[in-house]
Amino acid sequence: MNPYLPREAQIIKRSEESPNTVSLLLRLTDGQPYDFAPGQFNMLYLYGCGEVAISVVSDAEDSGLLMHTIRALGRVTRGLTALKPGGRIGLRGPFGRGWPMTEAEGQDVVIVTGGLGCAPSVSVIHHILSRRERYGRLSILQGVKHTDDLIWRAQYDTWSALPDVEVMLAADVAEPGWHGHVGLVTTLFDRLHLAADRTVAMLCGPEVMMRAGAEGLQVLGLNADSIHLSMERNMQCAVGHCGHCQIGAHFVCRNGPVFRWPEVRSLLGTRGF
Amino acid sequence: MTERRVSIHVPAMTRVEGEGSLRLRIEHGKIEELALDIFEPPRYFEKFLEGRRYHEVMDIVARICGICPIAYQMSAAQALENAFGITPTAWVRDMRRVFYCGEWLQSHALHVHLLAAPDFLGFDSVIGMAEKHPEAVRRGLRLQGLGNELIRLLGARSVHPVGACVGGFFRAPTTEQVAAMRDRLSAALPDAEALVAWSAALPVPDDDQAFVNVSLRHPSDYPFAEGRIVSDNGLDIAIDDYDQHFEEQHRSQSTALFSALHGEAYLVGPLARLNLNLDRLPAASRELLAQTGISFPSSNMFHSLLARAMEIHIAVVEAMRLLEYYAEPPIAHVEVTPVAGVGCGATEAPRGLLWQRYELDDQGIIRDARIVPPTSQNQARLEVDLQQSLRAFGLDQADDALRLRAETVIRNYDPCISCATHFLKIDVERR
Amino acid sequence: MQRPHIAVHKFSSCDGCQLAFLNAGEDLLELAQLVDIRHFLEAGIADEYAQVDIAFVEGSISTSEELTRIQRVRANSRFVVTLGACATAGGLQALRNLDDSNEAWKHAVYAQPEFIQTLDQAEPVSAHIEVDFELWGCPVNGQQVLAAVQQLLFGVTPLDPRDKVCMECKRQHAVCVMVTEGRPCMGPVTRTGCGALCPRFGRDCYACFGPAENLNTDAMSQRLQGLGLPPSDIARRFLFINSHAPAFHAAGRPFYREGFADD
Ligand SMILES: Cc1cc2nc3c(=O)[nH]c(=O)nc-3n(C[C@H](O)[C@H](O)[C@H](O)COP(=O)(O)OP(=O)(O)OC[C@H]3O[C@@H](n4cnc5c(N)ncnc54)[C@H](O)[C@@H]3O)c2cc1C
Ligand code: SF4
Ligand code: SF4
Ligand code: SF4
Repeated sequence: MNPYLPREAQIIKRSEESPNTVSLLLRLTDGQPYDFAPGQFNMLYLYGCGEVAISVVSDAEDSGLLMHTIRALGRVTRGLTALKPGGRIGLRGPFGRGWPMTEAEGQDVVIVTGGLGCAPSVSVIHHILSRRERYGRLSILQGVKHTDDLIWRAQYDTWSALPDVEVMLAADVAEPGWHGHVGLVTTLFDRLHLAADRTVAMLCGPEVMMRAGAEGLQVLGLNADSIHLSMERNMQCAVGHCGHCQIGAHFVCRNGPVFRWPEVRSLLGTRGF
Repeated sequence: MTERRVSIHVPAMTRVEGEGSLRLRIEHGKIEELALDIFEPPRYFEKFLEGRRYHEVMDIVARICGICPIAYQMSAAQALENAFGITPTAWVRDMRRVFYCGEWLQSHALHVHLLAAPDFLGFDSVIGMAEKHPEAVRRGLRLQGLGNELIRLLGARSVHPVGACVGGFFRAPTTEQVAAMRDRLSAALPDAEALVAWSAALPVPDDDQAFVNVSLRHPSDYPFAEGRIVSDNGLDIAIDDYDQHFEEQHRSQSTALFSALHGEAYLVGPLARLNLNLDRLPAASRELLAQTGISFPSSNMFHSLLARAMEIHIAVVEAMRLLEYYAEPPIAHVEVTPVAGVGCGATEAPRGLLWQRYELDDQGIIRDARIVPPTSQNQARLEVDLQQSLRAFGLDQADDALRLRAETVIRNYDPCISCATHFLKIDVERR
Repeated sequence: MQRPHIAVHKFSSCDGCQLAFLNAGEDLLELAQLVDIRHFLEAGIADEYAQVDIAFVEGSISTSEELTRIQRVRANSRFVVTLGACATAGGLQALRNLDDSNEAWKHAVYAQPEFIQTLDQAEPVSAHIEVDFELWGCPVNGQQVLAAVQQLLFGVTPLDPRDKVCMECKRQHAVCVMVTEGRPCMGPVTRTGCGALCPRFGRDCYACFGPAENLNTDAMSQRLQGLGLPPSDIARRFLFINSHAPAFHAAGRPFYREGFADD
C-alpha cells in the first residue's frame, strides 16, 4: 500500500461515548486487508479539511472493521465526530511502532492511562483479553481530570468483573456519587501489588502524567526497559518527513508512538522538546 | 392595440457581468420611457493610473474586468509601446494573438453557455439547463476550461494573468508545454465545430435591423490585437485618430458613458467583427460558417451568439496555427526605456473594440489615461435595439414575455457592466 | 438532509473573484448538486433577500446603497465569507482613500457628478459588518474557494494559510528573483495562496494576496531602498492592490507624498 495515498473508509456505526467523544466503526471500501498491531495509529482524512492522527482501538483480530475513538478538540476532529453513518473519510495507515506485545507474553501487564490517553490502550486490553492464556495478571489504572471525562464506563465494569483483571479509577475532580479514588492516577500506585521482575508497564496520556508514572513505577522496582510510553505529538505526514512530531532525534510517527522509558526519559519535561 | 399601461422594472439584471437594471414604461401602446441604468459604483481607474509607473499599468487595467483582463492588458501594452516607439518582436505578436485566443474562448464560452443560451432554450440559468442539455453544457465548460488553460500557458493564471509585460512576456512557455497545449487544442476542435452547428440551430427570433458595424481590420488576418478601425459606412482610420470620430456623453441615470460615431449609435463586438471580416476568416472557419446555411453579413442581432461560436472556432484554429512550429525565442520581451510622449492602443476585446490612450513623462510615469471599453460603445446601439426589438415583438405581449425579451436583447450584447464604469474624462467644453 | 443554501453577492469589483465559481467547470455543476444556490446574479439566479447558510461577498463597499445591502446580507446569512482583495481589504479602488480623492475624482471623470452617489471611502466589508471568514487574493485562487466551501460544508473552519510567498517559492523550486536579479519582490511580506506565480514567471511579486503574518515591513522597505528604489516607488509597492490593509498602509504611508509625487 502507498503510505501517501489515503484509502477510503465508510462509517458503519457512530456512538457517542461522552459529550465530546465519539467512536466510529469503519469499513475500508476497497475490500483489501488491513493489518495492524495494538498501539499503532491511522491518519484519518476529512476530505478537503485535513488529516489527524488517531489510534486504532479495535482488536486486530476483528475482521474487516476497525474502530476509532475521537475527541472533538479542534478543526478536523470536530468535523470527524460530526459525521453520520454512511459518511466517507480517507485513511492512511497503520503507522508507527505499537506496544511490545510479544515481549509482554508470559508477564503481568500494568496499563496506566490519563485522559483520552486511554484510546491507544484499549486495543491492548482487547488484545490481552482475547489471548488471556498468554499473559499474566492485568491491572488497568485510569485517571481522568473530571469524572465526566470517563468514557467506556460500562467496559470498565465488564473488565473488572473478569478473573485476574484489576481496574482502578481515579478522578481529579469527582461528581457526587463517585465511588472511585479521588486524586492523581499515580496515587493509585500505593495499592498496586506488583511482581516487579515479571511486569511490563504501558503508559499513555499527558506527558507530565507519563513521566510521573514511569518514575513511580521505577520506585516500585520495575526495570526501566519494561516501561513503555505512547507519545502524542502534532503530526502531519506520519512517515518521518516533515518533522512536526519530532522529539529530540526521534520521529514519533515512525520510531514511536510507543517508546521505551530510557529512550525518552531525558527528553520528557525538557524545555523545547 | 390595448389601452394598457405597462411598467416593467427589472431591478437587477441576471446573467450579465456587473450590475445594471432596465426601466421600461409603455403607455397606450407606445414606449414612453426606456432606459438601461448602470449603477455599478465608479472605481476611477483613469484617476489612479495617474502617478503610476508604466510597468504597473498592465496589472492595474486588468482589474477593470475579471472577464476580459487580457483585452485591457493588450490595448495598454500597445498604447505604451507606441508612446515609447517600441516594436515588439514577431514572436511576441504571435503569442499575444494566442493569449487573446484564450480570452475569446473563455469569455465567449462563458457567455454562450452560462449567460445567453438559457434564454433561447427556455431556462433561467445554466444549472437548470445542465439537467436537460448536459452534453451541450459540458462541451461549453470544456471549451471555457481550454481558454483558461491557454491563458495560463502565457499568463500563469486566467483571471488577472501575470505573464504579460510592456514589450512582450516575462517568460516564454517551453516547447513541451506548447506541445501539450497543441494536443489539447486539436482534441477540442470537434467541440468547437459541434458548437457552431448547435448555435446555428438554436431557435432565435428573426429581427433584422439597420446598424453600423465597427471593428478593427488587419491586412491579412482576423482581427485580434492589431489593425485599423473600420466601419461599414466608410470609416477607415488609424487608432490614433479614434477620438476625432468618436465621442462620449454622460447620461444622468448611469455611471457609464455613451459613445457615438459621428453622432450615431454603432455596434462593436463579435457580430460586427464577423460582418466586417468575412474575407479574413481562416479557411476551416469559413467552410464551417457556410455549412450553417445562415448568410453573413447578418443584420439580425440575435446572430451574435452564432458569431461568438464562430469566434470560438476561429480562436482554436488560430491558436493551433500559431503554435504549430513553436520554438522558444531567445528573448521573451524587449527592454523598455521610457520617453515622454503619448500613445494610443486598440484591440478587439471579446465584447468589441477597446481603446486606450496614455500620456507619460520622461520617467515613464502616467500623467493622463483614457480608456474606452466596448460596453460604453454599444450602449446607445443597445437602447435603439431595445426600442426596435420590443416594437417588433409586440408591445401588447404579456409583461413577463416583454421583460424576458428585453433581457434577452440586452444579454445578446454581453454587456460587461464592470467595464462600463470608468470612462474617460468628459470634454468640459461640450457641457 | 437539506442542502445548505448559498449566495454570491457583488459589490464594487471587477467580477474576477466570482469567476472562481464560473470558471470551476464540472466542479460548478457538482457544487450545484451539493448546495442550493439561492442568489448569484451572474449565474442567472436572483433572490436577493434569500436566507442562506453561507454568503460569499465580492467587492468593496463604496456607495450608500451598498452599505444598506451588505447589512441586509449580514442579517440574512449564517456565515459571511469575503472573496478577494476588494471585499477583504478594499481593493484597488481603495486608492481613492489615500488623499480623500473621491470628490475630486468624481468631478474629474463625470460631466454630471451630482448623479454619482458614492461614500467618501471604498472600504472592506469588515469595516461595516462582522465577517466570518476572509479569502485574500486578487483574484482569489479558485482552489482555495472550493476548499473553503468544502470545509464549511463539513462545519469546519477553513484553514487560513498566512505564511509568505517566499515559502511557496521554496516549495515550488522557484529561483528567487530578488536574490538573483535584484527585483523588488514583495514576496517576503505577502501572504501565500497563489502558488508563487510571479516568481515562477520570472517577475517580482506585487503583493496581490495582501499582507502575510508576522511580516517585517521595515526590513522590506530597507531592502527596497537598498535596491535603489526612490521613496515614491516604495510607496507604490505597498500602496497598490491592498493599500487599505493596515499593515501595508502603515508601511507605505511614510514614503507617500500626495499622488505618488517624488520629494
Ligand atoms: C499517535 C497519536 C494518536 C492519537 N490518537 C488519538 C485518538 O485515538 N483519539 C483522539 O481523539 N485523539 C488522538 N490523537 C490526538 C489527535 O491527533 C489530535 O487531537 C488532533 O490532531 C487534533 O486535530 P484538530 O484538527 O481537530 O485540532 P486542531 O485545531 O489542530 O487543534 C486543537 C487543539 O488540539 C491540539 N492538538 C493538535 N494536534 C494535537 C496532537 N497531535 N496531540 C495533542 N493535541 C493536539 C492543538 O494544540 C489545539 O489545542 C492522537 C495523536 C497522536 C499523535
Ligand atoms: S479582488 Fe481583484 S479579482 Fe477580485 S473582484 Fe476585486 S479586483 Fe476583481
Ligand atoms: S522570488 Fe520573491 S517570493 Fe520568491 S523567495 Fe524571492 S523574494 Fe521571496
Ligand atoms: S506572486 Fe504575488 S503578485 Fe503574483 S500572484 Fe502571487 S501574490 Fe499575486
